[in-house]
Amino acid sequence: MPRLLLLCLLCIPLLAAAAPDNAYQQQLIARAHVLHLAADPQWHALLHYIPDELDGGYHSLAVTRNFFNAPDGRDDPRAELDATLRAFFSDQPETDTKQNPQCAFIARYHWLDSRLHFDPQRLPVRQCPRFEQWYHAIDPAQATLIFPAAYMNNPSSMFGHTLLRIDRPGQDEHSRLISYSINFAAQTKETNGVVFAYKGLTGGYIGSFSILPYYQKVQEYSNMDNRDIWEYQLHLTPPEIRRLLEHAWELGPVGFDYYFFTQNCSYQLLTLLDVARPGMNLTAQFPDWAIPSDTIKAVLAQKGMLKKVVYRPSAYTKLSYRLAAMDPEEQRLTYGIAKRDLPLADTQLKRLPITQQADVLEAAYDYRQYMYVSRKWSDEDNNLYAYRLLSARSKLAYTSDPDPVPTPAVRPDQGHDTARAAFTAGREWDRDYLQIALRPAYHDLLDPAGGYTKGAQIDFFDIALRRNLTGRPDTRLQQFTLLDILSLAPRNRFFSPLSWRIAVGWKRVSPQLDPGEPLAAYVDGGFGPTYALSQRTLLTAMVEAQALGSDRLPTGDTLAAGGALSLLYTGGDMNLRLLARRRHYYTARNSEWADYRAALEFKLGAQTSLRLDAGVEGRPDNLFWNAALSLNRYF
Amino acid sequence: MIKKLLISTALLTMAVSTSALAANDSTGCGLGTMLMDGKQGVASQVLAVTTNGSSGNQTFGISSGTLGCTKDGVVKSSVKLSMYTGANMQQIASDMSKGHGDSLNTMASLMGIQKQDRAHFYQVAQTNFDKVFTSDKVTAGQVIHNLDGVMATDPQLTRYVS
Repeated sequence: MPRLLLLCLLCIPLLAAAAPDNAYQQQLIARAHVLHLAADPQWHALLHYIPDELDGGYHSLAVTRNFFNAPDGRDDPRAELDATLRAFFSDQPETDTKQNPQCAFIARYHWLDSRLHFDPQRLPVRQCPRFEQWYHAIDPAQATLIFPAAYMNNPSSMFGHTLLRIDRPGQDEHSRLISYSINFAAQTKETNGVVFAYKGLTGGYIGSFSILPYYQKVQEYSNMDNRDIWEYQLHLTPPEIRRLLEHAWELGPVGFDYYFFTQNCSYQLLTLLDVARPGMNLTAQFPDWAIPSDTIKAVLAQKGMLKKVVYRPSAYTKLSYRLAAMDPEEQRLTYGIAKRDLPLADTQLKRLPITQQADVLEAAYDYRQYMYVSRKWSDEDNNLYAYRLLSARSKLAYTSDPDPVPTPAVRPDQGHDTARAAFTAGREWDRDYLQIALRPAYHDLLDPAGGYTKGAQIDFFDIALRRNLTGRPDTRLQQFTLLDILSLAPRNRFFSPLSWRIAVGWKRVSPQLDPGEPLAAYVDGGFGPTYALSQRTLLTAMVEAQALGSDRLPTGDTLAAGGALSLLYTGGDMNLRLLARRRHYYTARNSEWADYRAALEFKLGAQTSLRLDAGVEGRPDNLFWNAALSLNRYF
Repeated sequence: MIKKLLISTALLTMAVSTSALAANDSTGCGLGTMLMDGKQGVASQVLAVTTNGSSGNQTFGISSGTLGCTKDGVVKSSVKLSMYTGANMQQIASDMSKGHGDSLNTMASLMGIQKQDRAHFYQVAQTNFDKVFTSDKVTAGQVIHNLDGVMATDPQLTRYVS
């Protein structure tokens, strides 16, 4: 009753101004109740309601007060629906700062109209010129899901990001830069990564939608961050596209609780698609966390959804590809001219055929810009020299191959699923064991490589339970990986990234270090150069350090330092890794440690692989053979 | 001690990519926060406009004073070409020197150049690169003006000059 009173009080200004048809209002509300519209999935999608885990009710993820018409609209779908219907009777004219509710909530209006069939005589239709102007500026004909892949040498970004691009009619693949894109992001100017990570994980940010020309996103991802972009053109019907844009319009001024893993960019884009095509229930598939590549798979799993995929290699990818295709003399000239060690009118250059001259000048310009943007070179007159390079290139009447980089054989949505269960039988420290391990996300370097960024590994929350079969049988927690990142980025004349690794978690200490084999916390890290021996083979050397800590270690906390040499071969269906590692433990009894092993993984099917890992490990004077055979299932 | 180290290392490592899943604040009509090293002309002027905070009643419009944006955050059609050119100067210059590329193609479509005239347009643009990009400090407005000048003298392209 008090709520009704409050609502009526709120209605008074409307009543006075518009004299709305009260009887018709009540009739519509009663009809909405009969049809259970407040419980309709589309109403929940439009208002971003999700179920409350505790009391069986609902609450909206939107936090902006104006997104709701009812005072308790955030937690009460039905009160919000009643208030929304009442609001549609408002005669508020549209101004620069105000909209009529029929326009501010235009997707809701059209959905309720489709269900209740508003009588225009009794509920006058309002014109929405601001929406129409905006809609025509965007000129939507098609929606494309955009997935920027990982940064080079930064596996954490493999999780990636997704956004939507709204394509215009009559565009081709080379003029889509001018399309608009719809992007959801946390609103922050935070530059401190630690603060950002902490607040992003704990809900310290508000996220919101923005709409930007696509060329800006391409500049950001492709030209500055060096991330390849995958574009998935979707089959949505014109009414679905219209609904998507109408809902995007409603969301413009709205803030949402932002959580890095759950209510993130990819999750919020799914809400737009859910509104566009009712019944897909995409968001409901991601109640716990939303990994962007998984959300793409969910969208593409809709029958007939995928129209076409376009791969847009980053500036870095194009440049690397071009440099790798050059002979050593062209590479030398490219580097010299980019660095300004050689003059633009170099006689060696002039002796080359015109096609190669063009190739050298184009690559030199791209390389210079890459080094400048990444702040490795900082000539004050960079712009002037870059301009001279372009001018020299324009004098060569030759058009180079516009699109030389081949599209990778496996797309990100076709890679293995991100969770993994591993069933292992093995032998270690002269004991046989069976083990089961579960890794919720994401990819390690031995997992089938297709669709994932080369040389990038990131594992989260890998947990292993082991049953020892030799001696007194026991079952125990063998290890728990909080985070395990490894990045292998090859160096050459042009690029000199440093490969690195870090792993954090808990694992059993070897019996040689402590016979009790306590569970110890560890932090492992290392860095060093990687060289590409071939397209598929990487050789890496790293200096490494480890910290081990446990109350149960007789020696207390301990530190180790050492190095490792590894060779990684990544084939289509087979990966091989050879590793030699030496370590010195600084404990009460200083001890040496060696680990030599080979790991081989075969892809058995789209979501299955077999891994054999064998080698010797232990004190160099007392090495133990160990071997493990694992069946991996991705899901 | 080690446990604390553990947690902070985990956080730190995740933070290595502050970009995963969340980009910087993106301003509506979109020209506020981009890092534009080495950008020339109009782009940097537009970028220099500070974002004045948004009022809740605007839809996608973020900064009330951003040049060339409607209040709801789309680019006004009158400045579409100049804003695009300003924001993509480097790519357009590079494409023009090569005689092809997506940035130049998009510019051609904004100028209304028909598909059958594109190849010729690219060739004319490449040949006259020095006349269009007269220096490294040229502005977007000058580039468009210079390009118009070059096209005006070309029988096939003169009809596209406004």
